[in-house]
Amino acid sequence: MKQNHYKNDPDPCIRCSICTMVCPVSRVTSLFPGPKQAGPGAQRFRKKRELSVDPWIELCLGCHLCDISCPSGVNISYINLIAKEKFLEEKGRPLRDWILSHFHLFGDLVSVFPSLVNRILRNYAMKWLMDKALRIEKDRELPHYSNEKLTKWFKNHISKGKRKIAYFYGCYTNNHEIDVGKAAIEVLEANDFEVILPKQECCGIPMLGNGNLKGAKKLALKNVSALLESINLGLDIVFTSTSCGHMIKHDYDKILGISEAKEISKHIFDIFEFLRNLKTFGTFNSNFKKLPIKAIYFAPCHLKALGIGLPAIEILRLIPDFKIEYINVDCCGLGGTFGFKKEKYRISQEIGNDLKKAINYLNPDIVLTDCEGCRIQIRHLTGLKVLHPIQILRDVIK
Amino acid sequence: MRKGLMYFDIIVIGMGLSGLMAAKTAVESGMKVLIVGKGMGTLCLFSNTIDLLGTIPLSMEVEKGLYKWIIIHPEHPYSKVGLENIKKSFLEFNSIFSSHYSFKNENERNCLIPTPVGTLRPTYMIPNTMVPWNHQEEKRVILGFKGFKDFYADWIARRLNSRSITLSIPDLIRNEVTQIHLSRCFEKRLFRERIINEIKKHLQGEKFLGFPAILGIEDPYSVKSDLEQSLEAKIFEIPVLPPSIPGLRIFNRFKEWLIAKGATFLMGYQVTKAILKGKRCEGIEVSNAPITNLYCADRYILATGRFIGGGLKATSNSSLFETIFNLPVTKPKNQNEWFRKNFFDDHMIHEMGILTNKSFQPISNEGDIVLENIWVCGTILSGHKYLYEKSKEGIEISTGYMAVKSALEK
Amino acid sequence: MKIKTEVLIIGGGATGTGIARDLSLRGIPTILIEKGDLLSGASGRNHGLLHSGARYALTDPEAAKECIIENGILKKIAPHCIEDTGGLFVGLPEDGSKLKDQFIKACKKAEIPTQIISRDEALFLEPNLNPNITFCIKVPDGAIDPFELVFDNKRDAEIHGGTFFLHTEATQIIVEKNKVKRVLAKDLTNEDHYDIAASFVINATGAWVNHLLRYVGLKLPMALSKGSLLLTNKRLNQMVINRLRPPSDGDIIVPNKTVSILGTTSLRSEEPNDFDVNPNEVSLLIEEGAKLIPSVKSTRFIRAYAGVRPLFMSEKKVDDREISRGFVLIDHERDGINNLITITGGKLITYRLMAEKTADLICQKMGINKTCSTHLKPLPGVNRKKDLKDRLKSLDTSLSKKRTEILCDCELVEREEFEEVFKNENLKDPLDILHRIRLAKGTCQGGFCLYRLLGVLIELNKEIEEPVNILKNLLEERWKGIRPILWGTSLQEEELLEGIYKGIFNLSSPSSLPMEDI
Repeated sequence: MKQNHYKNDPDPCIRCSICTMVCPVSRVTSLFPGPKQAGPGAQRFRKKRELSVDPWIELCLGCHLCDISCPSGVNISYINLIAKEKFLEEKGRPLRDWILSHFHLFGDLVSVFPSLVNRILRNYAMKWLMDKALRIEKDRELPHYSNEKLTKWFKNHISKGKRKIAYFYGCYTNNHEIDVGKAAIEVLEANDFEVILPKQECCGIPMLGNGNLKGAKKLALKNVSALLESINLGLDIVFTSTSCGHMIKHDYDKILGISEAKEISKHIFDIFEFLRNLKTFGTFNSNFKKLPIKAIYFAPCHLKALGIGLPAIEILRLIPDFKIEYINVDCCGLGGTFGFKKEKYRISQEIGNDLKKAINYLNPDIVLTDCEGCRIQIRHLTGLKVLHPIQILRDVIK
Repeated sequence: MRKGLMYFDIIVIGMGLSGLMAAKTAVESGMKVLIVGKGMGTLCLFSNTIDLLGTIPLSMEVEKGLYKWIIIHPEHPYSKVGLENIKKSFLEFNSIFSSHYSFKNENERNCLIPTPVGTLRPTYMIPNTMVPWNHQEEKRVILGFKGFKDFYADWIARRLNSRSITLSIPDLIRNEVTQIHLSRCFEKRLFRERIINEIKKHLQGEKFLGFPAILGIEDPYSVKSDLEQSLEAKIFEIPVLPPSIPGLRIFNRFKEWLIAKGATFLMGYQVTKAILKGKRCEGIEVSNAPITNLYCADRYILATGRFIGGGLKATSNSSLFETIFNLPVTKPKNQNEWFRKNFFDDHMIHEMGILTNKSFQPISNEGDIVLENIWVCGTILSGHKYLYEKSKEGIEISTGYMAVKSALEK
Repeated sequence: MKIKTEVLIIGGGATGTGIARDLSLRGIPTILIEKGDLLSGASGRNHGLLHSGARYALTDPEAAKECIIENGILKKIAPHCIEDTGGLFVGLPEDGSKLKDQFIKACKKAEIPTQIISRDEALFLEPNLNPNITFCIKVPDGAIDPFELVFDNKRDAEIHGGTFFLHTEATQIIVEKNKVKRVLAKDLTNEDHYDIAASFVINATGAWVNHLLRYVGLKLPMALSKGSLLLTNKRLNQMVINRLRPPSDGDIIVPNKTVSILGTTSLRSEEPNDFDVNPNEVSLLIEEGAKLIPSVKSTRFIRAYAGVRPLFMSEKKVDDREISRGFVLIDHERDGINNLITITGGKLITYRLMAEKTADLICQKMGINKTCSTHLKPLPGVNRKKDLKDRLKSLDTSLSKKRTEILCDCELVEREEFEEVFKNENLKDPLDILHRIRLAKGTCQGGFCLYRLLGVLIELNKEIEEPVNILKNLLEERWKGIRPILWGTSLQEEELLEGIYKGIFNLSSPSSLPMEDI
């Protein structure tokens, strides 16, 4: 994000429309007027003590592509988020949105009977019911619960290493994709780190995306104090989910106003960013097996917004015989909880169509991306195997 | 902040055409390159074609014209680059485009292309989706689209002695479309078929059809060929108001190329501070609030453009400065003098910019090198008036190329 | 063309148009001629302030009283032109607190309701206000759109039989036997000539009163005072903010639709169309404005403009109907012309009162007994209110009504609005549309939409000549308001627009072709 314009100030906008050119939502639907109009444009018309009249503000994905492209440094997605929050406070949030943004709460309940829950969630009648009653799109596969939580697995795992490192796994990894977590831990251990799992809550991004800044802040404050504990012990923190990472590293301070988070920002890294640093210092374990497969790498929106380049590609390029190609498509279209909502499903699919076409054209063995949302969407769009790049790395380390 | 974590051979600051060209030149020389930009540069705003020097008469070969120009204007960036290097840089630029979408000039001369107000504009290289004015026949139709408010076929046609057709876009539920929307529509075969049917109904035997420049982003040449085949006529694009799709095509091509070749491509980040030690730059701070990342390199290329991207900034009290290194800027003293009384006058502010030596290193008024490991390129340089000369892309390409070549010589 | 009427009004500002409405409502045949479009003078170049009168409470209690009464009347008859924002009078530490009590007393006397509010409450209402204010008094100020107001007066006048000839300039006044016999006028757009015979002629030309009076060899002691104003890109305040001190430069900030207006200065001028804003005025307005709202120092400005106030320099021995120091109504019977009246001075907010007094005088001279009803009858557009919320709704395409494309992205003006005005009002100069819709009034001041405007005009009117020249003239006109505020983001905006018009459109060189010789 740009430096000088923290607040939702429409002044820096020079009306060039570059943001509208890159916006994935406005290219597929005219229901969303585009970032220029929705953000700095509408901001001149909004009055604090008047009711919101901008229902289309819910269509902003929060992908940050507009922010990145703006020559002037307008914080467009921030303006949109503040307006979205106001709109939803006034309109009220449906039960469905509460459920989707509080998914992390169900993890504990479900962990008792994960396979039963998975069967129920896959059941067509159940999905039809959720579609009608809650407006959760029935054509979406809901995330599958793992047999045990990552934290449970970790309890029975002994981590050894010369130095210590903290790992923010994120509630999705913990409940639904524990292999990503396992892979991260194993790679860190292979680089001589003892992994610690600090106490953590959901990072809060589902709530943020649904305009519930208050709820997100409550969760954030808990995470901030837990993560500061690790930092005060001299540990760095890594994350595998670029969405969680961006939320903690940038939005905790910038959007939720938690100034203690600034300290965390200095010590928290994307796992591949961290590994790249190790490589620069010469302490990176690059002893890799061959892997003669063709992979496509898709950069999630939050990775682009993190501004660290493409460290996953840089590291994976070191694997012998491994072919990795970067796919230049803007956004997968899921937008976190956005694509699960019935009324937004079609938009989410239209956006993802570009990605689908590009992937199908390149015909890879596998698709890699750092964000769980993108993985869900790409699987849904193409049916291909989609992994977090750390899982590949774990597989090739000797 | 960890020192030395992000270390490169060359850091290019700025993602406009000069920055992209500089990054390409550096990558080609085997350097480890970081290109960092606040946004996407101004390619997507203005650059529909590649200007070189629009003031060269159409009858004259541009090489001859440039040669003359350089003699008369020793302070101009072109004379610092030199004729041979201008030629080389253009070859380098052309080399990243495939035969499918490429840029060509008209017999080594400037050519004219139509504009959105029906005037003509001189330029040097045009993409193969455009046709030079003198190649067009009289029986011409300009096509506009209802709801596309950035292009008015009636207006252009009137001035250019042509007929005009304004088509309704099939399946348009609401009444408004944008450049990007139309471009994506044209990439779909089904849409093209329906448009073609519509057009056929209105054609009266014309063989030249002018479209707004929205014939697709990824593969506009195929879109154009498909239309040409079905309509049995020649198609040409006419630039529209920003955002510019032809500019986006150039940007995308550079981005694709740079990432594939391993350059680190950091878009959307503002360089907020330069760490200077004596006459050297030791590193740059890239702001990504609340984080600041430090990047270091042996050499830095400043390609931040003029005011739009914040390369130069002016405050209300006549202060005008370069925002990263605070390099000396040539300027008339008084803010009153920056702009003349009429909009269409030749404003003094356009001549202002960073003073450099022949190797594009920034110098003071007395000629001393201000910073040893910085090279400056693009429109931020002093000594040119790109708007009136019609030389924007040419300056960007040639100085972007040359700044890196000079940097590598040291 | 020969025309006969009862009353000829020369001058289409708020006053002239208000008189046309008043007389038309009284059933008196009226014609108004104006050399430009309506609101060419001070009426179209002011703050848009709906005075509560508090400003004059201390210096001119009579004027203050008039203001508050008119304030109430306008809120009743023209609510659709008004945003009832309320206003604040604030004191800064350097102003002392002597005036505060006097001010409240004076307002009470003039029957202007005031309310003292605490600093905390003031900062709650206006978060951008200077936190160092020492006191704050609430008054019933408001913001008014002079264009909506005057055009609606015109509509009402036309409904009741009034006729308007715009772009029609008086070229000669023929006096015979102590009466104006005929007024000759010329249509500036098509060279038509008019020969108007009216029983009474009203000179409502504002700052141009003496330009007209020279046709009859008369001159009034007028002082022309130029006042400059600055427009911000976004609204900084929701209520009018005044500084409580003896009237000075830069002590008011008026919110108006999407912007805030900082004003004003006062420089003697020789010409009625001295509209250049000089850099000193700009610095002064920013410096003084920042004392009320500190963020003025760093906010973005989108336009600077000036208006010329016609001030009547009254002598001690007053002649004729000098109603108040606010405005002056002069029956030139005193000068030997029995049917010529000049009305001048005044403020936008008292236009209706000025019109009433003028119409009363006319009726008196005609010997008829028709009373004024302009304060009772609401203006015709009264139900057509479109505030910011309504404009923002046009972005909501989920509403079933299919809408036309938005031409002005900054102010959300749709093509339909433009087409409606174009079709319904037979405009001699199609560009007068710019005074009737909010196109080009926003952030980029027409940077993009002036091009679109012409594009649409050409589609609607194939006969329009030389659109490129029209575009260039529009851009030059726009430039006058932009040049004084070119720094920061506005400078970036200009680079973008120059890149479009001089670059992509290649409009700089006269022939738009390359030169033959270097």
